[in-house]
Amino acid sequence: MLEIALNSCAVISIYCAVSWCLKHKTEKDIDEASLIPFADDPEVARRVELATGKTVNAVQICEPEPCKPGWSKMEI
Amino acid sequence: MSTAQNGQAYNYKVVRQFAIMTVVWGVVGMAMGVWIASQLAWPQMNLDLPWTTFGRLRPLHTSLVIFGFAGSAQFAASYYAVQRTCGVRLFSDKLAAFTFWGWQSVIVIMLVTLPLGYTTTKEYAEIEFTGAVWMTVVWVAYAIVFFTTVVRRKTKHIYVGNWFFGAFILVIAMLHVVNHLAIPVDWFKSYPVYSGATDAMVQWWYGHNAVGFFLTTGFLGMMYYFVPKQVGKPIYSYRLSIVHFWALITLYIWAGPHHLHYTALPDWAQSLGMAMSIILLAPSWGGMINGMMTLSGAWHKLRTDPILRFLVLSLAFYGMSTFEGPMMAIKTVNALSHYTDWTIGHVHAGALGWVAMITFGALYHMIPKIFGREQMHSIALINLHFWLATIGTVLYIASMWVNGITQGLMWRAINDDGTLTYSFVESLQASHPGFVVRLVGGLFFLCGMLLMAWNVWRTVRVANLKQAELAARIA
Repeated sequence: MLEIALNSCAVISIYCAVSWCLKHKTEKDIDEASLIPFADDPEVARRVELATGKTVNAVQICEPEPCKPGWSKMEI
Repeated sequence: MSTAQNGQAYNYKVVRQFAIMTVVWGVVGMAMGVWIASQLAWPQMNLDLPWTTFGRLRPLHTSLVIFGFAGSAQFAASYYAVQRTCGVRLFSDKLAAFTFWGWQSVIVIMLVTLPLGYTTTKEYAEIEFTGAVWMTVVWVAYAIVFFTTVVRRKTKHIYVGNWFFGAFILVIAMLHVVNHLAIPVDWFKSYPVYSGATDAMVQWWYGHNAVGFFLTTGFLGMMYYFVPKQVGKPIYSYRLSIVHFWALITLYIWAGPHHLHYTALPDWAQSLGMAMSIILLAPSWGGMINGMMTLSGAWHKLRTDPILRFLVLSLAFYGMSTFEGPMMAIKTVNALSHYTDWTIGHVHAGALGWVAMITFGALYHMIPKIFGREQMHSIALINLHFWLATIGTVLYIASMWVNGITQGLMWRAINDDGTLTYSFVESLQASHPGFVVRLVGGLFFLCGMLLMAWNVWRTVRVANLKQAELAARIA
């Protein structure tokens, strides 16, 4: 009996979680999300756009922020 | 395309530090593995010293490769990917640096205490109480850095790879704390608050999920970032990635009892563990198929791109070992396979084939970028590394399959009068050729790792920091 209850709990949890995640997600949203890895790499993004015909626009344009001192130090 | 420069720079320093230490701990941990493999073939390699016996070096090997090599790889990959997919710099440079030095100190604690014999005796959780508390502090800092970065993201969506990294961080924290609950009697000795079958159950709830979350979920996060990047195509199905994410984390946590078949653990718990393990095949293969199918239309790239070869082969081994695991969790199969070398072969199909190979692919992709180089010093060496790693893994797994089935059959063989047909020593003698082949396989794999260390060294030595800085500013 306990096994059945535990298994049911697992199935219900996964159903709720997936439904929650995919709720209100349009095809455009899904495309946008899947293209995120290319959004910060203009050269690759251009190639991906050519290959897939989709527009890479996941990263919003934001105002330049001044670099904080030391933030661009690159040594190990 | 609408990307823009926002003047921010990613924190690549901590990524570089973790990437380098991944290679260092990989060399040390795998060398330790080769050494203990030689001890099983030739016991003289124990050197008659307490600190170098198999019993002390084996936990050191697993700790170094899991926490040192795989752990550092996941820190590096998650810090790299979360910044780039969220379009922001990591939260708090100081806290990120603390996670690096803190994590390295945890590995050094293991490196010193385990050969000295300080151990909880719990597999993959051997670090004693004081070290475990320190590990928790570092992990909490990691969680703060990662999740705060996600919260501060400039993107609308949280990319699916970050969901996997996030689940890995949260669940490992929970497992580590619960399994390490103990009563300390001094700085170097503690006793668990659990006893008997409960202790065993908690340990294997932890142990199996160390594999499920430390060695799978985080690496799936890695796969979801680096495979599309290397292929130059988005993931095959983003919906499938969400479905298999929830399915994986919901199911994995229940599968631990399959490590305790035919023990004092209640039978219902064993059966539940078996059932959940079999169901787990579906989400595991969901991830594997999603990764593989990302290559559809781009398979030709495998001919020329050894990094992609590493990534794809890792997915093939992931698929293979996640098929083998549920099969071995079936009680009747387990009756043959348990306590034999088959289990060791299965673990290494995942550890060498999946974890190490996807790490190699991710590092070869990432290192030129974070050190401002066009590509690695030598592509030919990456190719050679690929073949050494593949041959080494196949030799390792095949020898352990043969040994495991031989041992299982010899142990269960009985004569007509009910006595055992073979003594344990006879099964050991039959296993000796397999032990030697396993050592050869390990040597192949270690040689590949050494080539990688050389290649990384030559790449890092001529790092173009200005170029890396420029790339880091694009957000």
